[in-house]
Amino acid sequence: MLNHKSMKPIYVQIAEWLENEILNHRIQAHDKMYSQYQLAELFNINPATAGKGITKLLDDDLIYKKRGLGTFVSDEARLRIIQKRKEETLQTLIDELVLEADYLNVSDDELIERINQARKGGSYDG
Amino acid sequence: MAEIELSDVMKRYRNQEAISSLTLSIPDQSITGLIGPNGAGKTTLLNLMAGIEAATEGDVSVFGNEPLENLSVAANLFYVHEDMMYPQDFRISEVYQAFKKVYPNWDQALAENLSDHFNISLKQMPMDLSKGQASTLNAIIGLAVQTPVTLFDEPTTGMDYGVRKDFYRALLKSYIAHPRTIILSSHLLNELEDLLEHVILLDHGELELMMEMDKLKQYAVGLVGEYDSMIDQQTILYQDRMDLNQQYWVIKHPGEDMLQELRQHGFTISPVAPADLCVYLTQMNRGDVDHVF
Repeated sequence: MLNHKSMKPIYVQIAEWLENEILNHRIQAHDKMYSQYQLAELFNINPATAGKGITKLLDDDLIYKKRGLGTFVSDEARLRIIQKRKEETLQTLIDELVLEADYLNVSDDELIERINQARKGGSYDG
Repeated sequence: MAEIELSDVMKRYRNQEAISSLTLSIPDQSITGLIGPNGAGKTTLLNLMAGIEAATEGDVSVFGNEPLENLSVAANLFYVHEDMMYPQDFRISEVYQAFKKVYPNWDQALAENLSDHFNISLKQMPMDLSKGQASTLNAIIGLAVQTPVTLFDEPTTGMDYGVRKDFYRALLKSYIAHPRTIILSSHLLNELEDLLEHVILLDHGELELMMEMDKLKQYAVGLVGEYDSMIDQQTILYQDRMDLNQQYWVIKHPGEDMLQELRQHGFTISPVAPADLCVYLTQMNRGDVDHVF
Protein backbone atom coordinates (compact mmCIF):
# COMPACT_ATOMS: atom_id res chain seq x y z
CA MET A 1 0.00 0.00 0.00
CA LEU A 2 2.46 2.68 1.16
CA ASN A 3 5.87 2.70 -0.46
CA HIS A 4 8.57 4.15 1.74
CA LYS A 5 11.19 3.88 -0.97
CA SER A 6 9.20 6.13 -3.29
CA MET A 7 10.06 9.78 -3.88
CA LYS A 8 6.37 10.50 -3.35
CA PRO A 9 5.51 11.83 0.10
CA ILE A 10 3.18 9.62 2.12
CA TYR A 11 0.36 12.17 1.94
CA VAL A 12 0.56 12.15 -1.87
CA GLN A 13 0.41 8.36 -1.81
CA ILE A 14 -2.69 8.61 0.40
CA ALA A 15 -4.26 11.08 -2.02
CA GLU A 16 -3.51 8.75 -4.95
CA TRP A 17 -4.94 5.78 -3.09
CA LEU A 18 -8.16 7.73 -2.54
CA GLU A 19 -8.20 8.74 -6.21
CA ASN A 20 -7.86 5.08 -7.16
CA GLU A 21 -10.79 4.23 -4.90
CA ILE A 22 -12.83 6.77 -6.88
CA LEU A 23 -11.47 5.59 -10.27
CA ASN A 24 -12.38 2.00 -9.40
CA HIS A 25 -15.90 3.03 -8.43
CA ARG A 26 -15.35 1.84 -4.88
CA ILE A 27 -16.35 5.33 -3.74
CA GLN A 28 -19.06 6.94 -5.86
CA ALA A 29 -19.97 10.59 -6.42
CA HIS A 30 -21.55 12.07 -3.28
CA ASP A 31 -20.39 9.17 -1.11
CA LYS A 32 -18.79 10.10 2.18
CA MET A 33 -15.03 10.19 2.01
CA TYR A 34 -12.80 8.48 4.59
CA SER A 35 -11.98 10.70 7.55
CA GLN A 36 -8.36 11.49 8.40
CA TYR A 37 -8.69 9.30 11.49
CA GLN A 38 -9.98 6.33 9.50
CA LEU A 39 -7.09 6.74 7.07
CA ALA A 40 -4.59 7.09 9.94
CA GLU A 41 -5.79 3.78 11.37
CA LEU A 42 -5.99 2.05 8.03
CA PHE A 43 -2.47 3.01 6.98
CA ASN A 44 -0.91 3.23 10.45
CA ILE A 45 0.17 6.82 9.95
CA ASN A 46 -0.08 10.07 11.86
CA PRO A 47 -3.54 11.65 11.38
CA ALA A 48 -1.89 14.93 10.31
CA THR A 49 -0.30 13.14 7.35
CA ALA A 50 -3.63 11.54 6.45
CA GLY A 51 -5.23 14.99 6.76
CA LYS A 52 -2.80 16.39 4.20
CA GLY A 53 -3.88 13.68 1.77
CA ILE A 54 -7.49 14.74 2.19
CA THR A 55 -6.56 18.41 1.81
CA LYS A 56 -4.90 17.59 -1.51
CA LEU A 57 -8.21 16.15 -2.79
CA LEU A 58 -10.06 19.22 -1.50
CA ASP A 59 -7.58 21.51 -3.30
CA ASP A 60 -8.13 19.56 -6.51
CA ASP A 61 -11.93 19.89 -6.09
CA LEU A 62 -12.32 16.12 -6.04
CA ILE A 63 -14.18 16.24 -2.74
CA TYR A 64 -16.26 18.85 -0.99
CA LYS A 65 -17.00 19.64 2.63
CA LYS A 66 -20.33 19.52 4.35
CA ARG A 67 -20.05 21.35 7.59
CA GLY A 68 -20.12 18.99 10.56
CA LEU A 69 -20.66 15.96 8.34
CA GLY A 70 -17.28 15.42 6.75
CA THR A 71 -16.17 15.40 3.12
CA PHE A 72 -17.96 13.91 0.10
CA VAL A 73 -16.93 12.95 -3.41
CA SER A 74 -17.63 15.64 -6.02
CA ASP A 75 -19.84 15.03 -9.01
CA GLU A 76 -17.05 15.36 -11.52
CA ALA A 77 -14.33 13.75 -9.38
CA ARG A 78 -13.82 10.68 -11.52
CA LEU A 79 -13.62 12.61 -14.80
CA ARG A 80 -11.26 15.14 -13.26
CA ILE A 81 -8.99 12.36 -11.99
CA ILE A 82 -8.88 10.72 -15.41
CA GLN A 83 -8.12 14.07 -17.05
CA LYS A 84 -5.41 14.88 -14.52
CA ARG A 85 -3.79 11.44 -14.74
CA LYS A 86 -3.66 11.75 -18.51
CA GLU A 87 -2.03 15.15 -18.36
CA GLU A 88 0.38 14.35 -15.56
CA THR A 89 1.12 10.67 -14.94
CA LEU A 90 0.55 9.35 -18.44
CA GLN A 91 2.31 12.29 -20.09
CA THR A 92 5.37 11.85 -17.84
CA LEU A 93 5.52 8.18 -18.74
CA ILE A 94 5.23 9.01 -22.41
CA ASP A 95 8.01 11.59 -22.14
CA GLU A 96 10.24 8.98 -20.50
CA LEU A 97 9.26 6.41 -23.09
CA VAL A 98 10.15 8.74 -25.93
CA LEU A 99 13.43 9.69 -24.27
CA GLU A 100 14.44 6.05 -23.89
CA ALA A 101 13.32 5.25 -27.44
CA ASP A 102 15.51 8.09 -28.71
CA TYR A 103 18.50 6.78 -26.76
CA LEU A 104 17.98 3.40 -28.37
CA ASN A 105 17.27 4.77 -31.87
CA VAL A 106 13.84 3.11 -31.95
CA SER A 107 11.82 4.33 -34.93
CA ASP A 108 8.30 5.75 -34.62
CA ASP A 109 6.89 2.71 -36.40
CA GLU A 110 8.63 0.28 -34.09
CA LEU A 111 7.62 2.26 -31.01
CA ILE A 112 3.97 2.31 -32.05
CA GLU A 113 4.06 -1.38 -32.97
CA ARG A 114 5.50 -2.15 -29.52
CA ILE A 115 2.75 -0.15 -27.85
CA ASN A 116 0.13 -1.97 -29.91
CA GLN A 117 1.61 -5.32 -28.91
CA ALA A 118 1.67 -4.32 -25.27
CA ARG A 119 -1.99 -3.32 -25.42
CA LYS A 120 -2.84 -6.71 -26.87
CA GLY A 121 -0.97 -8.29 -23.96
CA GLY A 122 1.78 -9.85 -26.04
CA SER A 123 5.45 -9.00 -26.37
CA TYR A 124 7.12 -7.45 -29.39
CA ASP A 125 8.91 -9.95 -31.58
CA GLY A 126 10.05 -7.44 -34.24
CA MET B 1 1.43 30.11 23.75
CA ALA B 2 2.17 26.41 23.39
CA GLU B 3 1.81 24.01 26.32
CA ILE B 4 5.56 23.46 26.39
CA GLU B 5 8.01 26.24 25.65
CA LEU B 6 11.70 26.63 26.28
CA SER B 7 13.48 29.92 26.03
CA ASP B 8 17.27 30.16 26.00
CA VAL B 9 17.60 27.13 28.22
CA MET B 10 21.00 25.93 29.34
CA LYS B 11 21.68 22.98 31.60
CA ARG B 12 25.14 22.39 33.00
CA TYR B 13 26.36 19.38 34.99
CA ARG B 14 29.66 20.23 36.70
CA ASN B 15 31.62 21.62 33.76
CA GLN B 16 29.64 19.89 31.03
CA GLU B 17 26.84 21.64 29.16
CA ALA B 18 24.16 19.05 28.41
CA ILE B 19 21.82 21.61 26.84
CA SER B 20 23.01 24.89 25.32
CA SER B 21 20.86 27.94 24.62
CA LEU B 22 17.84 25.94 23.52
CA THR B 23 14.71 27.80 22.41
CA LEU B 24 11.75 25.87 21.08
CA SER B 25 8.04 25.35 21.47
CA ILE B 26 6.48 21.91 21.23
CA PRO B 27 3.44 21.73 18.94
CA ASP B 28 0.30 21.05 21.00
CA GLN B 29 -1.78 17.95 20.32
CA SER B 30 0.76 16.29 18.12
CA ILE B 31 3.26 13.45 18.29
CA THR B 32 6.82 14.77 18.27
CA GLY B 33 9.96 12.65 18.02
CA LEU B 34 13.09 13.67 19.92
CA ILE B 35 16.06 12.32 17.99
CA GLY B 36 19.82 12.59 18.32
CA PRO B 37 22.96 10.57 19.01
CA ASN B 38 23.90 9.43 22.51
CA GLY B 39 24.79 12.36 24.70
CA ALA B 40 22.85 14.82 22.51
CA GLY B 41 20.81 15.94 25.52
CA LYS B 42 17.51 14.14 24.85
CA THR B 43 16.97 12.79 28.35
CA THR B 44 18.12 16.06 29.93
CA LEU B 45 15.60 17.96 27.83
CA LEU B 46 12.79 15.62 28.88
CA ASN B 47 13.87 15.85 32.54
CA LEU B 48 13.68 19.65 32.28
CA MET B 49 10.19 19.56 30.74
CA ALA B 50 9.01 17.07 33.35
CA GLY B 51 10.34 19.24 36.16
CA ILE B 52 12.67 16.53 37.44
CA GLU B 53 15.60 18.87 37.05
CA ALA B 54 16.00 22.63 37.03
CA ALA B 55 17.56 24.53 34.15
CA THR B 56 20.85 26.24 34.95
CA GLU B 57 19.75 29.24 32.87
CA GLY B 58 16.67 30.21 30.86
CA ASP B 59 12.96 29.47 31.17
CA VAL B 60 11.09 26.22 30.86
CA SER B 61 7.34 26.68 30.72
CA VAL B 62 4.72 23.91 30.86
CA PHE B 63 1.08 25.07 30.78
CA GLY B 64 2.49 28.51 31.54
CA ASN B 65 4.26 27.35 34.70
CA GLU B 66 7.80 26.52 35.67
CA PRO B 67 7.46 22.70 35.92
CA LEU B 68 9.82 22.14 38.83
CA GLU B 69 7.75 20.94 41.83
CA ASN B 70 4.58 22.34 40.31
CA LEU B 71 1.41 20.45 41.25
CA SER B 72 -0.63 21.36 38.19
CA VAL B 73 2.22 20.26 35.92
CA ALA B 74 2.57 17.02 37.89
CA ALA B 75 -1.14 16.28 37.42
CA ASN B 76 -1.22 17.08 33.68
CA LEU B 77 2.13 15.77 32.49
CA PHE B 78 3.26 12.18 32.70
CA TYR B 79 6.84 11.12 32.09
CA VAL B 80 7.67 7.55 31.09
CA HIS B 81 11.32 6.72 31.65
CA GLU B 82 13.59 3.82 32.48
CA ASP B 83 13.96 4.55 36.19
CA MET B 84 10.28 4.58 37.07
CA MET B 85 9.75 3.29 40.60
CA TYR B 86 6.69 1.53 41.93
CA PRO B 87 6.02 0.67 45.58
CA GLN B 88 7.98 -2.51 46.30
CA ASP B 89 5.14 -4.52 47.81
CA PHE B 90 2.58 -3.61 45.08
CA ARG B 91 1.36 -6.03 42.48
CA ILE B 92 0.74 -4.55 39.02
CA SER B 93 -3.01 -4.57 39.71
CA GLU B 94 -2.37 -2.41 42.78
CA VAL B 95 -0.08 -0.11 40.81
CA TYR B 96 -2.94 0.39 38.32
CA GLN B 97 -5.38 1.11 41.16
CA ALA B 98 -3.00 3.72 42.53
CA PHE B 99 -2.80 5.43 39.11
CA LYS B 100 -6.56 5.33 38.83
CA LYS B 101 -6.86 7.31 42.07
CA VAL B 102 -4.37 9.97 41.00
CA TYR B 103 -5.15 10.45 37.30
CA PRO B 104 -8.79 11.26 36.48
CA ASN B 105 -8.54 10.11 32.83
CA TRP B 106 -6.85 6.79 33.69
CA ASP B 107 -8.17 4.14 31.27
CA GLN B 108 -8.34 0.97 33.37
CA ALA B 109 -9.73 -1.14 30.52
CA LEU B 110 -6.91 -0.10 28.21
CA ALA B 111 -4.29 -0.85 30.89
CA GLU B 112 -5.77 -4.31 31.56
CA ASN B 113 -6.27 -5.20 27.89
CA LEU B 114 -2.77 -4.10 26.90
CA SER B 115 -1.28 -6.03 29.84
CA ASP B 116 -3.17 -9.11 28.70
CA HIS B 117 -2.08 -8.59 25.09
CA PHE B 118 1.57 -8.28 26.12
CA ASN B 119 1.38 -11.24 28.53
CA ILE B 120 1.97 -9.22 31.66
CA SER B 121 0.06 -10.72 34.57
CA LEU B 122 -1.54 -8.23 36.92
CA LYS B 123 -0.53 -10.49 39.80
CA GLN B 124 3.16 -9.94 39.10
CA MET B 125 5.35 -7.51 41.03
CA PRO B 126 6.84 -4.86 38.72
CA MET B 127 10.32 -5.60 40.09
CA ASP B 128 10.07 -9.22 38.94
CA LEU B 129 9.64 -8.23 35.29
CA SER B 130 12.40 -8.62 32.69
CA LYS B 131 13.90 -5.47 31.21
CA GLY B 132 11.70 -5.66 28.12
CA GLN B 133 8.57 -6.36 30.17
CA ALA B 134 9.40 -3.50 32.54
CA SER B 135 9.59 -1.15 29.52
CA THR B 136 6.28 -2.54 28.31
CA LEU B 137 4.64 -1.95 31.70
CA ASN B 138 5.94 1.64 31.77
CA ALA B 139 4.68 2.19 28.23
CA ILE B 140 1.23 0.77 29.07
CA ILE B 141 0.96 3.13 32.02
CA GLY B 142 2.07 6.03 29.80
CA LEU B 143 -0.76 5.26 27.38
CA ALA B 144 -3.39 4.63 30.05
CA VAL B 145 -2.84 7.78 32.16
CA GLN B 146 -4.01 9.97 29.25
CA THR B 147 -2.56 13.16 30.63
CA PRO B 148 -2.69 16.19 28.31
CA VAL B 149 1.09 15.89 27.93
CA THR B 150 2.93 12.56 27.93
CA LEU B 151 6.70 12.24 27.57
CA PHE B 152 8.31 8.91 26.67
CA ASP B 153 12.08 8.56 27.07
CA GLU B 154 13.28 5.65 24.90
CA PRO B 155 10.08 3.72 25.68
CA THR B 156 10.97 0.68 23.57
CA THR B 157 14.32 -0.17 25.20
CA GLY B 158 14.54 -3.95 25.57
CA MET B 159 11.26 -4.61 23.73
CA ASP B 160 11.18 -7.22 20.95
CA TYR B 161 10.47 -5.93 17.46
CA GLY B 162 6.94 -7.37 17.60
CA VAL B 163 6.20 -5.69 20.91
CA ARG B 164 7.59 -2.39 19.61
CA LYS B 165 5.33 -2.56 16.57
CA ASP B 166 2.30 -3.25 18.75
CA PHE B 167 3.24 -0.42 21.08
CA TYR B 168 3.49 2.05 18.17
CA ARG B 169 0.08 0.89 16.92
CA ALA B 170 -1.41 1.20 20.42
CA LEU B 171 0.08 4.68 20.78
CA LEU B 172 -1.42 5.76 17.44
CA LYS B 173 -4.86 4.39 18.26
CA SER B 174 -4.79 5.92 21.72
CA TYR B 175 -3.77 9.25 20.19
CA ILE B 176 -6.55 9.07 17.58
CA ALA B 177 -9.08 8.39 20.33
CA HIS B 178 -7.67 11.11 22.61
CA PRO B 179 -5.47 13.61 20.77
CA ARG B 180 -2.88 14.99 23.16
CA THR B 181 0.69 16.22 23.24
CA ILE B 182 3.13 13.34 23.05
CA ILE B 183 6.92 13.48 22.87
CA LEU B 184 8.94 10.33 22.22
CA SER B 185 12.70 10.16 22.36
CA SER B 186 14.16 7.32 20.36
CA HIS B 187 17.14 5.92 18.53
CA LEU B 188 14.84 4.16 16.12
CA LEU B 189 13.56 6.95 13.89
CA ASN B 190 13.04 4.50 11.02
CA GLU B 191 10.41 2.66 13.07
CA LEU B 192 8.70 5.90 14.10
CA GLU B 193 8.58 7.59 10.69
CA ASP B 194 4.87 7.21 10.07
CA LEU B 195 3.86 7.86 13.66
CA LEU B 196 5.47 11.27 14.09
CA GLU B 197 4.13 14.61 12.99
CA HIS B 198 7.19 16.60 14.08
CA VAL B 199 10.86 15.82 14.57
CA ILE B 200 13.34 17.54 16.85
CA LEU B 201 16.97 16.66 16.15
CA LEU B 202 19.41 17.48 18.94
CA ASP B 203 23.18 17.30 18.75
CA HIS B 204 25.67 18.35 21.42
CA GLY B 205 22.84 19.87 23.43
CA GLU B 206 21.84 22.15 20.56
CA LEU B 207 18.87 22.18 18.24
CA GLU B 208 20.06 20.83 14.89
CA LEU B 209 16.61 21.06 13.34
CA MET B 210 12.93 20.94 14.13
CA MET B 211 10.45 20.30 11.34
CA GLU B 212 7.43 18.36 10.22
CA MET B 213 8.18 14.75 9.36
CA ASP B 214 6.73 15.26 5.86
CA LYS B 215 9.15 18.13 5.27
CA LEU B 216 12.07 16.19 6.72
CA LYS B 217 11.41 13.45 4.19
CA GLN B 218 11.62 16.04 1.41
CA TYR B 219 14.59 17.86 2.92
CA ALA B 220 17.25 15.91 1.03
CA VAL B 221 17.64 13.59 -1.94
CA GLY B 222 20.18 10.90 -2.79
CA LEU B 223 21.96 11.02 -6.14
CA VAL B 224 24.00 8.34 -7.83
CA GLY B 225 26.09 9.27 -10.81
CA GLU B 226 29.50 10.21 -12.10
CA TYR B 227 31.25 13.30 -10.87
CA ASP B 228 29.46 16.27 -12.18
CA SER B 229 29.80 19.97 -11.77
CA MET B 230 26.02 20.19 -11.72
CA ILE B 231 25.98 19.48 -7.99
CA ASP B 232 26.15 22.55 -5.81
CA GLN B 233 28.95 21.76 -3.37
CA GLN B 234 27.31 23.90 -0.70
CA THR B 235 24.31 21.61 -0.54
CA ILE B 236 26.17 18.31 -0.09
CA LEU B 237 25.29 16.68 3.23
CA TYR B 238 27.05 13.38 2.67
CA GLN B 239 29.03 11.62 -0.03
CA ASP B 240 30.36 8.18 -0.58
CA ARG B 241 32.11 6.41 -3.45
CA MET B 242 30.07 3.57 -4.93
CA ASP B 243 32.72 2.19 -7.32
CA LEU B 244 35.38 3.56 -9.64
CA ASN B 245 32.97 5.70 -11.64
CA GLN B 246 29.89 6.15 -9.55
CA GLN B 247 29.43 8.27 -6.50
CA TYR B 248 26.57 8.66 -4.03
CA TRP B 249 25.66 12.12 -2.80
CA VAL B 250 23.06 13.30 -0.37
CA ILE B 251 22.18 16.91 -1.12
CA LYS B 252 19.56 19.34 0.09
CA HIS B 253 16.50 19.08 -2.12
CA PRO B 254 17.31 21.38 -5.07
CA GLY B 255 13.71 21.79 -6.28
CA GLU B 256 11.75 19.70 -8.78
CA ASP B 257 13.08 21.46 -11.89
CA MET B 258 16.69 20.86 -10.91
CA LEU B 259 15.88 17.24 -10.03
CA GLN B 260 14.42 16.77 -13.49
CA GLU B 261 17.58 18.24 -15.00
CA LEU B 262 19.79 15.96 -12.90
CA ARG B 263 17.69 13.00 -14.00
CA GLN B 264 18.17 13.96 -17.63
CA HIS B 265 21.91 14.07 -17.04
CA GLY B 266 21.82 10.44 -15.99
CA PHE B 267 21.67 10.76 -12.22
CA THR B 268 19.60 8.21 -10.35
CA ILE B 269 17.57 9.95 -7.69
CA SER B 270 16.32 8.34 -4.51
CA PRO B 271 14.67 9.49 -1.30
CA VAL B 272 16.75 9.73 1.88
CA ALA B 273 15.29 8.03 4.93
CA PRO B 274 14.87 10.53 7.78
CA ALA B 275 16.87 8.24 10.09
CA ASP B 276 19.83 8.32 7.67
CA LEU B 277 19.46 12.06 7.12
CA CYS B 278 19.66 12.66 10.89
CA VAL B 279 22.88 10.63 11.01
CA TYR B 280 24.37 12.62 8.10
CA LEU B 281 23.40 15.94 9.67
CA THR B 282 24.95 15.09 13.02
CA GLN B 283 27.97 13.44 11.42
CA MET B 284 28.79 16.66 9.60
CA ASN B 285 29.48 18.10 13.03
CA ARG B 286 32.16 15.51 13.78
CA GLY B 287 33.30 13.84 10.52
CA ASP B 288 32.81 10.16 9.76
CA VAL B 289 34.60 7.32 11.51
CA ASP B 290 37.14 6.95 8.69
CA HIS B 291 38.82 10.14 9.89
CA VAL B 292 39.90 8.34 13.06
CA PHE B 293 42.14 5.93 11.16
